[in-house]
Amino acid sequence: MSGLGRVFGRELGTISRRPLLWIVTLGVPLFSALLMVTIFGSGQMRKLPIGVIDNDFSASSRALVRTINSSPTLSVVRHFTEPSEALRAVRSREVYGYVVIPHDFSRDMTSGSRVEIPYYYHYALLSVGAQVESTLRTLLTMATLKPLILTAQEMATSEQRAEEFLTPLNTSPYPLGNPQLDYHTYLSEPFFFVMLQIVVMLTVVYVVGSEVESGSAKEWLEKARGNMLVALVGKLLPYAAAFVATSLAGLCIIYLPSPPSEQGTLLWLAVATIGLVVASMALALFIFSLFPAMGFVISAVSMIGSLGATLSGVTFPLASMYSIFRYLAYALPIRHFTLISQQLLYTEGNVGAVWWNVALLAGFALLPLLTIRRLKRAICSGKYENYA
Amino acid sequence: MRNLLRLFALSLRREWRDIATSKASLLVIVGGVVMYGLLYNFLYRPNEVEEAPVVVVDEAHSHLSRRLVSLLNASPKADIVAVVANRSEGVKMLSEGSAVAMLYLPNDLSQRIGRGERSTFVTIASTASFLYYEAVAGAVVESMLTLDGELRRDMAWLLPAPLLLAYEGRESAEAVGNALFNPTKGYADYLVPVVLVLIVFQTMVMVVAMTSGGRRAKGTTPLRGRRLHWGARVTVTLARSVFYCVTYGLLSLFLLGLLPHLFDLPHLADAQTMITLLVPYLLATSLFGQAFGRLFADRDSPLLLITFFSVGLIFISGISYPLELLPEGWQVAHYLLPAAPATLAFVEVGSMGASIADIAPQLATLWSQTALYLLLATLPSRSFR
Repeated sequence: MSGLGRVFGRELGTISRRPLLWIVTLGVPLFSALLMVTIFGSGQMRKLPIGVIDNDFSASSRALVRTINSSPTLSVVRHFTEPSEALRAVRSREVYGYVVIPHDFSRDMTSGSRVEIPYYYHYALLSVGAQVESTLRTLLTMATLKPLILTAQEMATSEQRAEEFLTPLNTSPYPLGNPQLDYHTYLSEPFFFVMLQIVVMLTVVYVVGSEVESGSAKEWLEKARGNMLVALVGKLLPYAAAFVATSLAGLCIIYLPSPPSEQGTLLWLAVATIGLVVASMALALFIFSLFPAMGFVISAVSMIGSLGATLSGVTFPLASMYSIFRYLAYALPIRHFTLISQQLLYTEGNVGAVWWNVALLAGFALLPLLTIRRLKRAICSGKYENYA
Repeated sequence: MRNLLRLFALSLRREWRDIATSKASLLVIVGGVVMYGLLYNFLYRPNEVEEAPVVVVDEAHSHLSRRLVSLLNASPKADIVAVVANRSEGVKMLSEGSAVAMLYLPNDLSQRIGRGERSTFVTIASTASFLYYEAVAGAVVESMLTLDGELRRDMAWLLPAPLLLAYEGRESAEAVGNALFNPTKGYADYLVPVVLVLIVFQTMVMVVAMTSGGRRAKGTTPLRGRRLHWGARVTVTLARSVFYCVTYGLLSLFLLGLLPHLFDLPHLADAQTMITLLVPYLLATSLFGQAFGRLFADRDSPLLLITFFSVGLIFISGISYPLELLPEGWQVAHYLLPAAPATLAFVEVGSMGASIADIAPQLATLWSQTALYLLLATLPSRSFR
């Protein structure tokens, strides 16, 4: 049997005896795909509870409350008498905002006196607050125009004409790649891969590090007839295969309910996913080989991997961060993968613009070659056995 | 009783010795708490998203289109990086990533207004980063509303006389929005306090579980291999918890006390409220770590799972997505993991100025978790360390 086959067989034996490795390579990626697909429910924030302080008690103010309630995003669940009471309810998240209908609202709207409708929204919870804000802004702005539209109708001018006069310029928004502004599209796919990168990197450090720390690495190297490259490929091949299989299954779980419109996009995403798995394994191996003390490196890699959630650039744009972090992000495979997948999904498969991200993602695979001798020397010296 | 006190002291000493001599644990504590705490503050330091790059496809070439471009460029949220003559150039910039949004101003933009008709332009914006999308959408709407006000003056002659009279007699009516608890609408003000609370949970569970796993690998037990009765198991468990609560209590002075002051994060809570919340949080977390650590047979394997869960914790905390909109199963997870209710409570007291009474539900959840994990951590089995 070749060295590769002997190492491969040895690793399969190890995996069969360690349920933890089954859980990590198969269970965790599938669980994270299910987590990201299910956690946002419908993906749309619907019927967010808000309150009203109605100081007018008129037919007009009740009509305004009905208008707010007719929105699919908001639901008026409470009427308050005092701002302090409303603020307490916002603080306890009973409501996510409130509208104050001023005294003489009806009279002032009819007579054309100045009217100001204040509304408040919860911005310590930014995503909910942004949703409440934009919905209330639209609804209340339209409500302030309503009397003039009614006047227009009374004067036999069409409602459309009045609206054209009041808002002559209009925009038709087109959110590229996520027309419904759906949370699934926004977060599920990117964060699944963020989690994948973390678990792949940790697993590599753990399985290689366990050999070094326990002192079994010399026997492992002997199986590969002293060839470090063969030893690494034979050892990591089962994990690479398992991670590729489960990450592709995760891809299917995320995309099959609503696949990308462009034919072939899913196929290229699958190719990029394989690239991410291989790049993450290679980066973890490179970091470990620089200083092969498992206790240290697994802690360090757990922290580096977690940074992927921020440095992928999905939530806070990298261009808005300090420039050092923009460059740092390129040291993580997830940043390149995110750019490639967004390009595939949002620009109908035009990956030409991110060709260098493709090249860099592929280039990660070569990183361990730089440190392979160092790792072999560390194993042969036994210096890092029970190091931490 | 004296024996239990001796066991308590012994367990405290053992915990100190194991942590102080474990480079891996020290790295997690120092690296995790100090470096992570500082790093996340610097990562989100700019706080707000500004100058989102926008390309304008101006086919109108009119005074109106130029006015719209200048209004948009004046907004701090958007930066017009190019005004191009045709769509293909704009689409190219979008696909290359040199712009995150494209405004398409059609050639009849001004003519329609001149005829007294509504004129529509198209805003195409990337959702690759939601904050960019929100910045661009907000800036476009603000510019458009300003321009609408200017246009109404110019278009008044198009109205029938009685309606014009009614319009001119009116004073403005407007809806005025106010952001509560985050007046700058900053992203760091929203997210960093959450991350700081999660760092406490993640690093403490890592260290506790690593220590438990390490002892199991070495085969060490609290009393040289003897099986402990229930009282002794509770004593050992509480001693470990006290050790971590004191250690993390001190670290929290830095993480939850000093850093928010240094980086101007919201810090409305007083010391009494913070301590009232911190005590059950640290207790529940240390006991959760001990119960969780019993699942592992070596020092490093807990890390394989703990780090992975850190990302999901933000979602089930109810901070990034409303708790009541999460499916029921994930709402249950919120009540099982100490970090989730604690994050919510820390944001309420720190960012919203909530009182102890306001966070009573989260405090009740944390104390219930403390009881639950004390039970699970002290169950008799060979995995007790």
